[in-house]
Amino acid sequence: MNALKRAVLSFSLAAAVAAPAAFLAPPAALAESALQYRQAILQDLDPSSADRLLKSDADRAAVRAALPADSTAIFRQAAELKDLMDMLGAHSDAATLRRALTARPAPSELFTQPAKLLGWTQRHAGASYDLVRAVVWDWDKLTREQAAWLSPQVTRQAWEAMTLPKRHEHMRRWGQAIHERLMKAAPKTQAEVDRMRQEYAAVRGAISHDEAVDISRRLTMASRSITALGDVQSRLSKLQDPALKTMLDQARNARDMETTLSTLSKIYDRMGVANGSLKAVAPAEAGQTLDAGSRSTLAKALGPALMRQVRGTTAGDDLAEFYKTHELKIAVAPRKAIATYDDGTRTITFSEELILELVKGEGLTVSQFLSRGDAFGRAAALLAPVFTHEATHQMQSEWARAQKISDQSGQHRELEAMMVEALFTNEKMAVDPGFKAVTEGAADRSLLAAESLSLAESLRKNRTLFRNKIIADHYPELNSLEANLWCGITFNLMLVKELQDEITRRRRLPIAEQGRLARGPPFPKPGMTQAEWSQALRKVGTPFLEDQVKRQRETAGAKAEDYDKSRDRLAQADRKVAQAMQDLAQGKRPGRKASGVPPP
Amino acid sequence: MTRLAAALLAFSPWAWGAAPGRKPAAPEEAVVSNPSFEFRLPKGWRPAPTEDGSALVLGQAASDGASTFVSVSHFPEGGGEYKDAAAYLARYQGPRPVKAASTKTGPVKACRVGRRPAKGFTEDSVEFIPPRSTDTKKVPVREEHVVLEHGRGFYVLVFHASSADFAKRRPAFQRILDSFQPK
Repeated sequence: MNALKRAVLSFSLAAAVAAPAAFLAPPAALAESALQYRQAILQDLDPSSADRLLKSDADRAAVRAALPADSTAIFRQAAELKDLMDMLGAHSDAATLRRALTARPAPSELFTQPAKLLGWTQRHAGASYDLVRAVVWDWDKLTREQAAWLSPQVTRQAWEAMTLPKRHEHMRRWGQAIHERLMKAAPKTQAEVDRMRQEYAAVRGAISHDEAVDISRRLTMASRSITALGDVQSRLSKLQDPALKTMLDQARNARDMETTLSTLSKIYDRMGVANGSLKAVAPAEAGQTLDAGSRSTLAKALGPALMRQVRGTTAGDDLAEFYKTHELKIAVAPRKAIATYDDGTRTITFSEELILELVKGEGLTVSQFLSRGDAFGRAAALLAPVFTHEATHQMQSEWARAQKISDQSGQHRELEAMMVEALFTNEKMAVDPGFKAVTEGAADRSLLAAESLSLAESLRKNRTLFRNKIIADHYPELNSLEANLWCGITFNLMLVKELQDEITRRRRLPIAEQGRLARGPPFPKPGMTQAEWSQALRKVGTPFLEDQVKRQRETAGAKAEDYDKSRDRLAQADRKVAQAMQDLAQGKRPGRKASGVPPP
Repeated sequence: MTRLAAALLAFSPWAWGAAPGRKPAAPEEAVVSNPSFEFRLPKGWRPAPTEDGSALVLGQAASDGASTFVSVSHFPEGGGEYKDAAAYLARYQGPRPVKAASTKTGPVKACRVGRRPAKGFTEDSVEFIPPRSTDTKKVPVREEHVVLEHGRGFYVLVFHASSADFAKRRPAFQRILDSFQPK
């Protein structure tokens, strides 16, 4: 056996015996292990120890028993370290990693102080050092354009002392200036589109997601209009139609992109040639807009059509069961995301733009679309995977309510919903030739269809990559499960500090004043804003402050239990999907499995 | 401790646990290892955590946003999804339940993993960037799958990159293939 094999084997064995040892070890050894964890996590910021502690219920019980005063801080720090390490493992792109880092809602020195983050990365994730330098806008990693834009305002020394949010604020201003310019651009040649695309790629990491979508949408319109201009030119060269040639000139010389697209769309109509891809981005024609009435009619028709589509699959059977006791509410409204679930109104909303794209892609008006069963059925088939995703969010929310845990959004919820959706597409493609034909047929013109296929195949190929893609590409700005834990505890501990500061302040007041404040009212209501909280803090009775300290500490401590429940639910969903995919590979017919993720 | 073992500690914190508080040594030589295989990490690449015994290493993302990675999986005999290497190749070469029309799979060709004979093919498809937006773009990507039979099972090494960047990034994959050691 060579040295390498010996090294691997000895450490594998060490890991394999670690958990049972924790159960069997005498109390002194548990305390020793707890002290080691405290040192490793709070002092050394060691991500391996953090990962191990979060995975081991026995070790966490040991830490809680041996170090009751520190255990919440240790769990908080462990979650933060795991969160950071998972981010580094999932992201390859500085722009999305920066979005993830800067989106965490609680203050953390590690996440906001570039020097601290770089020092930690060098010690614990050396291979990611270069990427993290780009993420924190390291001075030496700025492009020439970025440095030239910054230099009149900020010195290198000032930049190096700045927090990541401050640096990002500067770079956002640089990005927004470019965003503004690109949004007015109307490129007329492929070379101009390519230049615009390069600028977009350079600025993508400095602007918001919505701003990036705006530019990207503009690029799509430009790109499709240029392709169509070339296509029309070539078709017209074979026709003798002066009127159409005049229209082509009008399209080419139009000052704005919208006029170019609508003129091209009219040319295709007059030539009797279908061009769903151009029409999908062209301005709406008569009858291709939605009003309150048609939105409501569409929404009412979509519910039953979608439930018919999902029938006979694992997701479909779960949803049929769920909607026996819960209301299915569908809406159609303007949205940047293609669909959303709102737990306040318990409604699944599809993007109006997406629906109109399907309507325009069919070359129909809204009323024709609604009355023609075949076109509406095709749209329902294309929307069905996304429906299973959003409906899973509704099930998750009901489950969270039943478990009495706060229903926090996060990557764990999206990961489960994406797995359900991808499994649905895999199963439906296998059992429903009609769905298969519609989806495959639409894949060339509908990105919704193409992306459903890609997601389904990605789940089948490699689940680690599937998970990373969801975290890094789909939802970088959402909290991970660990972020919910450490950010939640951070807020609770901040409140505890504010409460304690107020109690200390009161103790220094004259006795009469202390007596008056002791008789103060209770906190007015749960769910206060920051300003309301600060005001209430000065007025409420001192015993209520002391009670609140206790409550906040208990809430912080209970967050680890919420974390366990959500983590276990995700693990259960993962096993269920893996089993269903294996069954599918073996040719078994899909359907509800006994080992399902717990219904609410 | 050998240099190689020191590197192993540095790069495999998820595969086996060090005692709480033990710090990994600074990497002198980048090696990714788990109980089934090991290979050298190309410069500038990063290992990512996995929990299923596979390995995943990430390269820098392409300017078009497409991801760059190499995944390595071991399929022991009777291990589940694929009966053997031939079944893996057949799955990709034959009709698939889910396959976009734009996905094109190349023929199986002979290749090498280090000095060992292997088989491989390429597959062209698209990534959707940004995903799930009302303005998603199709970015062409290419994958190279290399299948190595060894012992009673087989290994699959997959290199994935933007089509525009594939040739430029391919030497990193070659380094992984050259240094790959099944166990």
